[in-house]
Amino acid sequence: MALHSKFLWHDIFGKQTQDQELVASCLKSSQIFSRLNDREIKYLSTFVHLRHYEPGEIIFEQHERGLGMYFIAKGAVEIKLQATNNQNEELLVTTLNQGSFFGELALIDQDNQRSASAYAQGQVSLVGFFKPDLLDIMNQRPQMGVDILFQLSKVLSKRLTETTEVIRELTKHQYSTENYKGPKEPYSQTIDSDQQAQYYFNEANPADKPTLLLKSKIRSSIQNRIKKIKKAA
Amino acid sequence: MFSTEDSTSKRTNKRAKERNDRILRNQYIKLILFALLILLIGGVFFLTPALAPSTVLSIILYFVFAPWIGFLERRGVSRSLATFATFTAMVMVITISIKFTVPYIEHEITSLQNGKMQYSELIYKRLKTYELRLAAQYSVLKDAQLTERLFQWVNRSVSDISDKAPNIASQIFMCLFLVPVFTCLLLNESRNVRNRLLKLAPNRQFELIYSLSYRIINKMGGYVAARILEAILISIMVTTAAFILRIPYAFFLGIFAGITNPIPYLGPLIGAIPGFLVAILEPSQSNNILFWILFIYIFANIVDTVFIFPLLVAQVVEVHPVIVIVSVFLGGEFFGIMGMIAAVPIISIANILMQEFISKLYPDLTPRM
Repeated sequence: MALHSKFLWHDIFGKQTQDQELVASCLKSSQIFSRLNDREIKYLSTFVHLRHYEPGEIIFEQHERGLGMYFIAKGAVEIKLQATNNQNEELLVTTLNQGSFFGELALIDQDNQRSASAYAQGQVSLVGFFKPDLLDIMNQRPQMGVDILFQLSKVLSKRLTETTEVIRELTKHQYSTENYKGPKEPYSQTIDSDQQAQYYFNEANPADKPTLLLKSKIRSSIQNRIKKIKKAA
Repeated sequence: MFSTEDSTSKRTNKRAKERNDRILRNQYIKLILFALLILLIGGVFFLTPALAPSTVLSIILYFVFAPWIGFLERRGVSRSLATFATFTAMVMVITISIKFTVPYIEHEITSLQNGKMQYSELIYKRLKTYELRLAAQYSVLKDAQLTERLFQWVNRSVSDISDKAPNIASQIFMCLFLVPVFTCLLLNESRNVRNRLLKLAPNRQFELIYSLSYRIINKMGGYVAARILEAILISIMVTTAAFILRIPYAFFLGIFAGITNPIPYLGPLIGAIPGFLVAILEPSQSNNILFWILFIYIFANIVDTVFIFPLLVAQVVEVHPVIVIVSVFLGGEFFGIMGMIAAVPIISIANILMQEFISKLYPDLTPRM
């Protein structure tokens, strides 16, 4: 909540037992901190930041510089991507529920620009874990820092595998460039007549790189493949 | 059918717009309240005469001890225990140092007090000789009585300071009580206090405010620690050299050189003044003393410029030397010696804010962290 009922007085002087419990349970249930014991979780909870959001409130926007990741302690978060053919339109990529996390790339990426936007769906409480927190932990408790980084690498490698599968699935399908008015190379190489995926073009500037739009068949095929990977993991 | 859908869609859009406006309004209110609270806290602690010196000293001590506490924490010691152990060690070190250095300092103060009249007479005689010479050449200066006026001004200043002595004593007493309490609180609770204050930051600006506060605190910590270490090294060098060469008031000369050293550029010059006064006015010393005192200060300055400053301080302050010089002069012009000391940290905070501002304007040019 932007101006929640506990603002100012409770935030500074109030006892925050409930908040601490919420933070501890959220951190405990997260895969990234699964290697930490209760004592380390308690120590970690002194670093992280509990934030409250109103329905529809922006958590962060695509292309914005990011400082770290968020864990969903309560509520759900919508992840949206800017449509490449219309900057004002946003496509819903996924909805994340309690226990999920997002924005983890900002924790380790040097340039750390957000790759998508995140919005609160209903009243949401998030636990923010940021780069300065990770650096402080690595500095003060190196073993704990290594444990966190190891789990983070596992999550990132899993996501990389998923992305690789998506790309592999995409290359099986063919692209049509019949409406493309820009340079013919390199987009004219992988054409056949299946037409399950299509390149869409920026009508205002036809020379722009065409955007790939997934048709429903490809989308469902990819989702099935991802489910299989998740099951296997 | 279409009109019903249209009106439903319009209502939904209107509700969404109202909700977004409310969120935005709340964010602004929160940002203003946050800024006001920070200003209020800053005002209470930095502008209240009774609290300001204790607050500044505590912050300096916090930056000095924080790396040490961090080092103990890395070795598995809890923060509270690390703070307690550090304070106990500090009290012991101060007690032992006082036990060993007090006799020397006492001796220096006594001889300074004994020599006060002697120095005063010597300075008076020399100034009067110069004045008479000038008066012989320029008749305007005949009745000017410059030396007497100068001495009257010095006496007035000394009596002003004497009048303020009770006030200064009460401030020192306040510091003795408050500084350990504030420093302990900062060392033990700084993370908690910072997180509680950050809770008040609006969601949209939270990451920016957190990133800026982290960078500023880190930079200030590095700067204060580097400057203090530099001052201690200068003090040790000057005291040791003066002690070996049997120059009087070795401790006083070393401590003064260390205290004034953090004033950029002018500090070493100001710090050398007492040394030259001793060389000129101390009648018991041979003529070589001036040469040796000159040698000590130049040597300390060269070691500082060539080794200590580049290794400790320059790495922390990433500001162009010309900007540093200008800021130091402006600080001195408006706020005196304190302005000169505070100029470099303030300019380096301004540099961080400017970098952030530029990175907002041109996000592709400047990676933040």
